[in-house]
Amino acid sequence: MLGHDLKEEELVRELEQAIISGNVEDTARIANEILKAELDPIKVIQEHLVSAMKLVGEKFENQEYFLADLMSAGEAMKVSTSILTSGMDRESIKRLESARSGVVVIGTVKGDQHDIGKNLVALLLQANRFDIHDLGVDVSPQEFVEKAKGTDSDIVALSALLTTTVPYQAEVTNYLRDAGLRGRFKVMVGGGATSADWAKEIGAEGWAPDATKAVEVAKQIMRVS
Amino acid sequence: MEIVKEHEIRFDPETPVPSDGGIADEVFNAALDFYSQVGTYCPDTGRIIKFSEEELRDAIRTAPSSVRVGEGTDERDFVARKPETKTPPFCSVGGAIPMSSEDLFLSLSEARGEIPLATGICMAIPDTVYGTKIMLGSPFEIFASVRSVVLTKEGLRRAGRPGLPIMNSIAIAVSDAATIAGGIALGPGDAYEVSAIGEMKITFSLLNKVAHALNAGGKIVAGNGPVYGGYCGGAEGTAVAIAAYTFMGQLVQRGAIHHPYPTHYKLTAVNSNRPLLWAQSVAYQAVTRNTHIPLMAIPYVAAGPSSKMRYCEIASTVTAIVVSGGSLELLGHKGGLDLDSPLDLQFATEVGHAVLGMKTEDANEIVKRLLPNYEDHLSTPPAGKKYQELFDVNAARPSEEHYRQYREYKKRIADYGIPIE
Repeated sequence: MLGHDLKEEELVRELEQAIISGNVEDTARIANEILKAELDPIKVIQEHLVSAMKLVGEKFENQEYFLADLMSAGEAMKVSTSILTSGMDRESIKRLESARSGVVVIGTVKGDQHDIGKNLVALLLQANRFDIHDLGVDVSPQEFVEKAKGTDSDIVALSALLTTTVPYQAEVTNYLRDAGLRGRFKVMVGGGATSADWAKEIGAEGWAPDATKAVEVAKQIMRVS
Repeated sequence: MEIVKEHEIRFDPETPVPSDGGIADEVFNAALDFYSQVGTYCPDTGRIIKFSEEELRDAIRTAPSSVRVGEGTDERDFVARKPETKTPPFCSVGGAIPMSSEDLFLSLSEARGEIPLATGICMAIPDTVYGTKIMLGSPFEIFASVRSVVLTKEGLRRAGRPGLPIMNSIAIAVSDAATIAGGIALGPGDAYEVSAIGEMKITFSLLNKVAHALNAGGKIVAGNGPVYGGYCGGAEGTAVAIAAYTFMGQLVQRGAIHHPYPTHYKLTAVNSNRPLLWAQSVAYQAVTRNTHIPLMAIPYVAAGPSSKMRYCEIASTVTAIVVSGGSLELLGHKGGLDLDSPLDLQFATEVGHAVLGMKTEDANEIVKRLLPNYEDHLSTPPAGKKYQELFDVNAARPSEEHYRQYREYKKRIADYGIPIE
């Protein structure tokens, strides 16, 4: 029995390590072994995947990891989650969903092609148990709102780097208001040309100067730790 | 990352201004490898524009080594420089700082035009046009584009330098339509800036600007802003990206001037910190040692106008750029509305001229002495003062207090070994 536990322990540690190092191939292989070994996939996701991504987030904060590292780790986490949840029943999926921090629709607003800051925020939110729906760049207000409705999101996160694209963040809040949906979704804004004053002016619930702070703001909005 | 490992490029925090030309050459070789493998992605076609190594080498070999800009008494050649050379840097003064009113925009343009060592000007950005917020793609972007050129030209006329070339045409115009529209107000000596999207991306809208600029005389400043901590990773990857953009600048943006402005993923619009000083210095040496393409870099400082920290940041970043073979676009600052001082820019031009012919070893020692003044405060910099607090707006002249402070800071910076008068 002890040997069996040791094997399980080894598998989950290997999985953590593969995610931290962003090795998608190893992650997939180990996740499949975990399923074969009949470990509790919910426990593996909630304890080990979460702790691996937490460490990835810490490495980013300490400037040991950069965007490419976050992307690899995020991809590894997605792959392992997909494998581990593949045989799950609806009840188990619901249990997992109830443990997430929130659901976020994120994108760079209309006319703006810059994605580095937005990607950093998306990946760090993902590392902090948020479900992310990333719409990419040059996203219209309608696309943001339709996706938020379709995914029953909690937060709509809007990135804009340029002074001339920042007004499109206001277009999204206006669109939500005009559609009678303003109370249904919280709005976060960020990007080079934004500020706390701007967020207040357009009625956004959150603003952050960088990706790490954006996670703190999203957690405050969702009241999770 | 693999390219960086393969070429054994390593950031050394003790050498923010490296002197080993071998490392710079390796950065250039890595950039050649990297760009020949990666190319430029065009989201409009979903395809990658790729070039063979031979095509890249040809592009560098056949690139012009100077470009004629400006008009009248301010017409001159923007020439390529080499590390440690005594050739003065081209100094394009100003930054795309948002200004809250047309009066301030005009006064600032005049004050920028009066900087004695300025050889070009960088336009500010109007925050509104005819009282309306400017949105990309809207008619107001077109109004703002034309209006900003007209106001900049009027400021230069008032400064007595109507032919000083605008080097960032047209800062407020992000769309191709607005750039082309604003072109009607530009002169034949002005240059268009066409900046790549990070990293290594180009859109049809940007290529439309290239097509227009080529028809308008071909003075293109090929901008690129690699983000430290973004796709290119740390200092080493950022250096390789800066150098790789030289190839993209030649072949895709069709630039006459290579125009890097790297920034930081956490500090945002800042490149005065140690890793980015190293990345800039080694990359600019890589480009200027291995090509004859003119290079104009932007020092990005965290501290606001007229603060002591800003003067230290300017001194170290300008020194690193100029001794590494770069010319200057002065000055990048995230800041906010009206946060600019042409007297700070004047100081930057003076530093740029004071370090001419300086050895990289000596520059490294100076930069190392300057860094402790500010490197721990980059995430909490002083906001500084607004233009209207530092200058008499009607006269476009600095206040006595601002001038006194400038003199005092200049004296202090001279104590670090920069031979500034």
